Amino acid sequence: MQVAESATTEVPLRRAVTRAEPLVWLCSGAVVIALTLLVTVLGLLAVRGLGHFWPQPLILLSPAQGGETAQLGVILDRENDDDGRESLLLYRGVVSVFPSTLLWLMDDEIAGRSYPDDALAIELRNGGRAFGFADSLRDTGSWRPISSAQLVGKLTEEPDLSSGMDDRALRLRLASGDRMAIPLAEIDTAYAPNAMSFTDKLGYFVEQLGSFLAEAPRRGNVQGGVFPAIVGTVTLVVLMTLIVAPLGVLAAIYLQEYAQHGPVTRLVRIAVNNLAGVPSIVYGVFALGFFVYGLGGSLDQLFFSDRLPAPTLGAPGLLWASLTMALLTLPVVVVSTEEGLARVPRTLREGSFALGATRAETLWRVVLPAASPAVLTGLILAVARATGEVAPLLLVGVAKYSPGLPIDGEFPYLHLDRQFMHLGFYIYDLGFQSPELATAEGLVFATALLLVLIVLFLNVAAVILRGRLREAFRPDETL
Amino acid sequence: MIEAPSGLAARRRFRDNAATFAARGAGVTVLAALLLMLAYLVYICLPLALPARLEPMIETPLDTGSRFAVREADASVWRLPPVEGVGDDVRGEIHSSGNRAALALPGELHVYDLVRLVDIAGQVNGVSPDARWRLRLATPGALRNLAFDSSAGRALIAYYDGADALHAIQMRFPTAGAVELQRWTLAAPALRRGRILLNATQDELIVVQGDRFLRWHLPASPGSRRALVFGGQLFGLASEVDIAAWGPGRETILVATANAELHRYDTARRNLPPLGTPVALPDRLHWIGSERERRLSALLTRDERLLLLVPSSAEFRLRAPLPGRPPAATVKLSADGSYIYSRDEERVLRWSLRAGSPDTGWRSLWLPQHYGAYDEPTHGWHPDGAAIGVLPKYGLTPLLWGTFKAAIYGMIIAVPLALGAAIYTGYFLPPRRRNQVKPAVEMLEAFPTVVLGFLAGLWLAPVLAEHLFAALLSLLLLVLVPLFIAALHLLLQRRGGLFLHRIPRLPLVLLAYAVAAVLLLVYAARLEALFFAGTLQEWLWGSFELRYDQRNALLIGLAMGLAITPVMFSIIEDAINAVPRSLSDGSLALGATRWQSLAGVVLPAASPAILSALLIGFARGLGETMIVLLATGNTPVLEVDPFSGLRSLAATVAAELPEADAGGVHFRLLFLAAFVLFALTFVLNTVAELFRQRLRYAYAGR
Repeated sequence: MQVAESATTEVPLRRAVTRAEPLVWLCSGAVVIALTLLVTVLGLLAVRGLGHFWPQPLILLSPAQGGETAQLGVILDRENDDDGRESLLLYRGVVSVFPSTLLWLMDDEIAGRSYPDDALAIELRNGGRAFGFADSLRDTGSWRPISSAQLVGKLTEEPDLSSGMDDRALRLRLASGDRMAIPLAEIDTAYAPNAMSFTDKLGYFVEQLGSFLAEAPRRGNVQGGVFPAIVGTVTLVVLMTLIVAPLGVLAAIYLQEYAQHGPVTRLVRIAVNNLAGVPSIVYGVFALGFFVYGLGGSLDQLFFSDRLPAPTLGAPGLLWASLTMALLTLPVVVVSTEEGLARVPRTLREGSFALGATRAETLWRVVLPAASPAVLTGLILAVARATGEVAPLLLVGVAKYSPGLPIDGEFPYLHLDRQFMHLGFYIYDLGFQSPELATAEGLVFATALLLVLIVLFLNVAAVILRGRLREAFRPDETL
Repeated sequence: MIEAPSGLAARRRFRDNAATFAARGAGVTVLAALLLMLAYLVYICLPLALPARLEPMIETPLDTGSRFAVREADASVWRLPPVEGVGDDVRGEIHSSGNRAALALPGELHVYDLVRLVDIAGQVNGVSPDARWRLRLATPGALRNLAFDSSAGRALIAYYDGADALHAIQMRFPTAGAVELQRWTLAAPALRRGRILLNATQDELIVVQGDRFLRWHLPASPGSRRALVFGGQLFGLASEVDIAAWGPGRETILVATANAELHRYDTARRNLPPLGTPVALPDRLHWIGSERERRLSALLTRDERLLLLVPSSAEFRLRAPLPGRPPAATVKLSADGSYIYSRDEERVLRWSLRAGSPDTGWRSLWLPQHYGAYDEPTHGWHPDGAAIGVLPKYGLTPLLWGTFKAAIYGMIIAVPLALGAAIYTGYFLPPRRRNQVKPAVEMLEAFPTVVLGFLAGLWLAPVLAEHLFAALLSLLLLVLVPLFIAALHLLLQRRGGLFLHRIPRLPLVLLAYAVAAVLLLVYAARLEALFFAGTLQEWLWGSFELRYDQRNALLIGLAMGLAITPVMFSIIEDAINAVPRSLSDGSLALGATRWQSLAGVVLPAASPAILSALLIGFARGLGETMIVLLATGNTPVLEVDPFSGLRSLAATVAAELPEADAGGVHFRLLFLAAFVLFALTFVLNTVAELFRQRLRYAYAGR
């Protein structure tokens, strides 16, 4: 008591500082930072990812005195140099397959900027993209002038206009003044982004979003959709779940219901904890050596010796990838299931035993149903982990581009030996190996957003389920 | 009691037993999976540690009536066709290199292509007489110290004539069957009987005699005939020279001396400076052979023992007697180093050399090596050097360094963030808020690392490079702003008001951060110009010679920090929350402030779990692959500063294993890298688990 009093009188400032709680403020700062990071990263992905599908305005840049020709295109990037001069990265479309025509323009090379309403963006069936103005149309034998708006209307009204093999063609006036004839059969869609109303843009947005989800990639993955990657990812996690669910649940049952306290149980527990901590790439290394080269190579010699030396199972593929992922996510399922089993009150089991049920019957009829939300939580978390994990897949079966889906109508329908595409790998590959990153960046952001949303959804589902379980079996309510 | 039919009872018992069996099996499978993983990694890495060995010889008897050459590429034996006008009793001197052999006879030289067969007798191939070029020599006497080297398009022959004059003949083979010749007579007054060494592109010639050397560069264009010459002394030799020979990859010259030392000289420098310290040998040597694509030399001592040596790291990989070799035989190493063969007049003996990794030992993996063309010993990771014509470097130290660097920078960001957030959520927030905030922070886990890596590498890296000063300042502000609020609070409190207590903390801090961010946007550029007279990068370079790499450790720290925060947060928060409320209530009742109760009672009680969370987070950081792969330049350097790049074990494995040759040294080394990661994380996780169990038992009976 005396000590406390003397402290108040001698160092009031120190006491005051303690009461102002600087460290608590710091800690609350950490919470704010963590939550802000979550929102910021999500927001960034959403804006850049969804922005990819929104129609970009076409800008017409007229040249300064003595400059080159006028340019029409989409601005991809702006940069300021040290003197504050702005330069623009202009995307002028893709004439053939490669490369995209990108152009850096300095501010002083540009005399005027405008967004003409009749500027037309044309998507070609070969993956190309042309920007220009509609000049004339050869519909019935001779060239007749046509405006951009008329052309867009005509293409929407008569969808079969651009099909068939004939000499019908569109003459496009490019920004440079040159004219380019495009056979109608090659035109996929045409639209005038600057003239679009908000609802038009929204319609375009939805359509683009749809084709992103439902179509296959084109032009070396820099255009088109991610459908095969979605299928690949889903097939992988479904197969993985089929493997990991029984093994993980049984292992948890062993630890929780059967195991005596002894060295083996302790070792198994240590193993579970360590499997959770081993870096995912180590699983990949092990799987490549043991599953692919070792097991796959031996199976090839036993069953597919007629196809050797071309490997069937002795090469990276879906089967090995899902096995690897199952091993990787095993601890997640075990830990979660174990937690659920531990929360099932002992009285329930005793009631069941008292009625004459065997241990297996008690487990199957009483304990497991009660713990099922926990099992489900574990599986969902395992799926979430596997969906976002890429490192081991780099080694055991993912492909940059795979012509066949892992599931199709051909016997045996599920192709365990095939390589497959994967959303996470798609991001890695497109973002870091692609020669055309500037034009594909929007697509990478969109894919990243999709992946994050899937994993986020799974995590939220797991949190809700787990909450339900905890509500159902509060320790004090079971007495 | 109801009597169940015996069939049903049996079935029930069977099912019960089956369930027990399945559960036991699954439990053991988990254990087995871990053990199998460990065992398999060790099984693949183990050959790296095993010594090389020589496999039994193959003996090819030679017919005494003919001349024979041994093709260097695969040690196959070739019978040369008879030479018109020269009897078979004049044996001549035969040298082979690549797919060619040279036969020196008095007054003439023959060069054979050891590719075109006329017949095969036993293991001996007959060379077609068409595949021969005959060079007439106008020099007196027998050829001495002949050297011959050939590649696909060129061959070079050098020798001393009877009058001790040095001659060189370059042969070029522009098309099959055609040949262009160029001859030089080189003045070597001081070195009348030197050992001649020819380089791998057949345009350079080095003569070593005693501790003197001369080197000529032969011009590539057929028109010019002047050969450039440079001479000097080999420094550091304490004794008489026994042999001079090429080192591995012809990057160095190895010189063995009479006091049983092996010296290395760097041919990348014109004056052949010595490399490293001499290697002590068990005996004097009488032969040295070196591989072209690996850092390995084979040495034969005078007491007939074969030594395999990695000269750059002075590691002996094998010491074995070479059995059955006739005393007068010559010994050679095949081009790919897989065979050693010796020949005399009657037979060719061949041993195959088996080793998981003859050219990498403990020292060359972890210690700096003095490679040719380097000023000082360096660490290097360059496993695919052979593809571009340089020797591979297998230094794992930079990779291990990069692994720790990435994890440590990640921890610098993640530890304060996770600890602060966990303390606030677990101790200061009311339960209702806690139940909202905790899962929200844990949702950070939902960002796949490939997405974080992509954002860091492609979005953040350019932003950081352009606004480095603002970024560093904002990191500082993240700490300063809450402290500023506390100071404000203190000020207001001393004036009697305490209204800050009534505003919810989190929105207030958020608001303060937002204000700080706006101020930063407005004033950062001006402040930077004021403090650093230019940009921060220029100042760093000017003052400390610190180079700013766009993909650097700071970037990794930020992305990795975000990736490992949720794991640590989750464990620490649980631990703080698990400390019985009664403990801190007691402390509060005794007059401690909230922070004092936390720091004095709750945190010590939770400390084992906090420590375990830190270990688990660190282990996660060590093994993180995608972020490091995507957001660093993957440069294997040993730098500490946050503005340089790095290359980690995990990223190296991910990038290189798909391309590595299964079973090769590179493949095994990548497995070793994976094993190192496995071992590190195993230790960290086990220690962490022990800490957690301590906590679990401590409060088990609350």
